[in-house]
Amino acid sequence: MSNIRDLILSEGVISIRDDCKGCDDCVKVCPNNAITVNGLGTKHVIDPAKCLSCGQCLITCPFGRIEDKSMVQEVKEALAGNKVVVVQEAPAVRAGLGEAFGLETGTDVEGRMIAALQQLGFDHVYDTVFGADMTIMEEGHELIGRLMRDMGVPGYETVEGKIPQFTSCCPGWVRYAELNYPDMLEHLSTAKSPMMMQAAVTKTYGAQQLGVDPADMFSVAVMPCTSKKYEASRPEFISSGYRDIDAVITTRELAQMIEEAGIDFDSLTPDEPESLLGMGSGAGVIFGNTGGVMEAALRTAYAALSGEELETFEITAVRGDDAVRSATVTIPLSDEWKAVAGVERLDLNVAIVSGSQNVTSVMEEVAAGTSPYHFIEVMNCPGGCVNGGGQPINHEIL
Amino acid sequence: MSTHTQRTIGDPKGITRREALIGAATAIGSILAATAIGGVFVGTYKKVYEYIAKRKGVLYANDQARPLRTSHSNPEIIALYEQYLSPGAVAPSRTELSHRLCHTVYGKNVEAHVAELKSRSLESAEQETHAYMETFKA
Amino acid sequence: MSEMTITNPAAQEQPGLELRIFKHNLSTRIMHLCVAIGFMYCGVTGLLLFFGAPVPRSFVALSHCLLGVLFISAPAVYVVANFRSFSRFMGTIFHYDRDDVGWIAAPMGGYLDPYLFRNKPPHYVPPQEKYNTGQKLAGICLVLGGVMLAITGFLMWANAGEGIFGLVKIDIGPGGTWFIWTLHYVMALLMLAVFAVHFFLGAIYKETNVEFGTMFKDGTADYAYTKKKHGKWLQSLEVIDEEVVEDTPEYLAQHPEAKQAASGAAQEK
Repeated sequence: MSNIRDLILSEGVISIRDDCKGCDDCVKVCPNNAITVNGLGTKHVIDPAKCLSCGQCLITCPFGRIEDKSMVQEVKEALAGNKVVVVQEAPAVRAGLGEAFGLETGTDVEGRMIAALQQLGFDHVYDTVFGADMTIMEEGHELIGRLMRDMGVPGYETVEGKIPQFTSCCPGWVRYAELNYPDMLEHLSTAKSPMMMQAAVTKTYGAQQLGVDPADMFSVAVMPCTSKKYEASRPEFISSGYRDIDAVITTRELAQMIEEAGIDFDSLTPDEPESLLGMGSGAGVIFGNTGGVMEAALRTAYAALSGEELETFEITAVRGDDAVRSATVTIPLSDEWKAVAGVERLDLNVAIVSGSQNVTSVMEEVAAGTSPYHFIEVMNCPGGCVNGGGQPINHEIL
Repeated sequence: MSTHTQRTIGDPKGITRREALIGAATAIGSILAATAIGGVFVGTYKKVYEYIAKRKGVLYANDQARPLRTSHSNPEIIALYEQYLSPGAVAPSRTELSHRLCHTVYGKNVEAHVAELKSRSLESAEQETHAYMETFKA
Repeated sequence: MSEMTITNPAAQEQPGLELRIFKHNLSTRIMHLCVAIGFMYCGVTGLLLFFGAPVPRSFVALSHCLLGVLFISAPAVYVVANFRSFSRFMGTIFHYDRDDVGWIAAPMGGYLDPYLFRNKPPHYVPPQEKYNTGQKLAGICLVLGGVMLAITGFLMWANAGEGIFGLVKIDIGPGGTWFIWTLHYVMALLMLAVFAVHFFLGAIYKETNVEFGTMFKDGTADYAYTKKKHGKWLQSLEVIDEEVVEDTPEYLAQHPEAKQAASGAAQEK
């Protein structure tokens, strides 16, 4: 993995082939203007210094002339070797994997996805929905901490980070923020992404519970996202004492592996992920949709602050397709919180941005100090991870 | 000098009704075809995002069908905190382990953080966490 | 070939009469020249771009689009400026009867005879109109194909980066882009194939390359050739002009087809 990792960090994950036709469709969708434009019909080249590795160009190219670096070989070698190979797969994968096998768009293939991974030979098949639940726990309490500090509640004086708090589970968005708003990174949540939290916990808590030496573990993640290959390669993700993630494969690459192994995907008997790091809530599942992280966080924030569960878990105010959406959620505080916070309720102003390039107006307000929001979800890919750069390519015509 | 007659013949000046009709039909037909094809492709582009809505629907339905709807109710998550990240309780973001394993830094701060992770062992973080949670209980 | 009897008095041979046929008028010839230049330039540049040849792509692509504009504008102007000639042409290429079936059954107007039926007598080919069956079918292909190339080309250009000089910008999405570009390639391939035959027969093949002069010089066609190959057309022609010409040696040298008329006139005298 080290060779691929260095290549990814220096060149990025995505590259445009020499037989690019210059149709410019990729340029239109690149969130960070990382693709060169030199006049009509000229072949395009990606600038690694600006590329987010998000793969929007890849899934847009009408002629399939854009590629992403593959770690399938590393995964196959690990499966054939002696290591304990552990796998997690993101929520969005189950929403798109079926298309690679000719199933109708919008088919939930969760059970068959797990069964396929078992048949491929992974020793432990978990589920990133667990990591998503972890992210809600960590990021939700981080948000409460920042809010209480700003309200002057004693005991929260040393909490770091600024309000509004931005989500940080999307590596494309994180890199976009690092490149374009380097002075505003204190607004980003310090919480890792579900994939990275689950990975760190796998080689520590997971290894201990399984009775396995983490040095013998090979940790794989199946993602709808090509930027996750970049994220996993970042130097700081070694908190377990080893590379937290050893290899990331996309939904497309998983489909490729399933086909090459001769597995008849459609007729697999559905199965469930292994317990320990495999159980996930519905809140974790909707992470793959724009607004999903926000909705999941609100379900937990509401319970934590009010002491009660929401009557209706569906928070439709944060759902939708518009590039920038906002809502206000009123949370009645529990008696304990009322006592320390000195107020009856919290009117939480939230915003959701779909597509990194659409964050501009929101960021301008934050920079000017006029932002009305407390919590902002940003996903790089329009629609959310279900439309990520690692998903099966779907070019409906009319 | 001898002479001869040179006669030039060619298509008649007028055209038949049939020819005029076909000519007009072709000209107008081309314009209509251009508008139709252009209009169809330009106008229906919005619809090509239907596949995203369908994939989103999968996750919303998957959520609704689960007995477990919230992250904080997940028994495996509770087990993770009570047994490892904040032994004896569920205390996200409070312990050294939770910070080391679940939180990170960005931009210019990454380099120093990498050095710190390499210099402090996982065991020391686990020990510190245990000690902290002991005082927490007390 | 077909030797039909011409009953149109304007087109009947007579002693002392030199018949000169005016086939393509000036606006037709100008339009055709523009289309020829536009199509050939677009064909060459299109192939260069398609195969990724090491050429300055930006210049080649832009000039391809501009010549494409010429390619479709010339006929567009022609439709308005000379609606009669245009309609006559469209009427002919969309007119088919039993003689056209016979032309195809010949086979293919007898063009294959020297190659496939070498020692046999030539097949019978029914009399043809101003354009023979093959030319009519090719005409339909070229008109429809040209229109489709222009439409798809326009959409491709407007869909790319800045659009058409920033003035017309559209977005048809990746699926739409794939469809329009592929359609453009398919149409271009068909057109190039038809054009290859059209160019060969019109400019190279000995039996028929007199047509090149007809289209690119003064628009006149040879009477004997026309009577043999497009007899039915002669039936519908009218007298445009008639003048008495002196039979000077220079004239006869320049116009060999007049020799018969001149000798005929001399015989009369």
